[in-house]
Amino acid sequence: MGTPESTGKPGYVGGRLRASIGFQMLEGDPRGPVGRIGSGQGGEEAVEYAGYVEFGTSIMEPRPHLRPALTSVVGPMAGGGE
Amino acid sequence: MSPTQLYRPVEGPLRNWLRTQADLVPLISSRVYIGVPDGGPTYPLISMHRVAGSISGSAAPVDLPVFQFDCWGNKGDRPVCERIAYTLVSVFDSAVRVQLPMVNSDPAPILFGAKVTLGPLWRPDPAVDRPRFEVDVQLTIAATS
Repeated sequence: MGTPESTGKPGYVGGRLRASIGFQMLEGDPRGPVGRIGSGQGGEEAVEYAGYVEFGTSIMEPRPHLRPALTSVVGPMAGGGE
Repeated sequence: MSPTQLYRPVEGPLRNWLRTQADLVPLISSRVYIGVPDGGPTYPLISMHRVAGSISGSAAPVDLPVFQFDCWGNKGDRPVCERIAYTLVSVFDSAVRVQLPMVNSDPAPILFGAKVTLGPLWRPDPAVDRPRFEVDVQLTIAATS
């Protein structure tokens, strides 16, 4: 979460990206239960810089927040985990 | 009491191994870095970041990191950038039971295999008009000596 120290902006209040992350289930997909997870997916306002935070830019390192979560659950979801 | 199993970082050995890959050297020389270097680096280059995965502690401990590899090109040179990314995928596809180079005096880790989990994906940096293809790879590496 962004802080005054990480952003260099005194008094900065972070949490906008985190608050924007949600999910939705897609109805009637022939593959079975399918959902979307990400910024703005749960009806919240999407944050335009979410992709830059996840994947970084040429001047900013990635700060992944979705991929670590996905990696930790994809095994159990696929039936291959503990 | 059994001795502690010491886990080793894999970023350095992996970077050094990629720097020696014959298919990549004509494209990027040895410019593989952990993060984009400061101070106006020479392009094209590959930057790498560990973005997910964990060490699986057990009787046969393995590290299962997910790395994001960014293949950065010179401005306006998307084709070369794309070629680097596809070559990188080819290199990992061919990597089976590879002994990675030692870093400092740490034991050399063994890369058992690699699986591309994302990409090559066109993901330029619009702020500075810099072409980039991204490749995410999950690796299986012996975590201890």
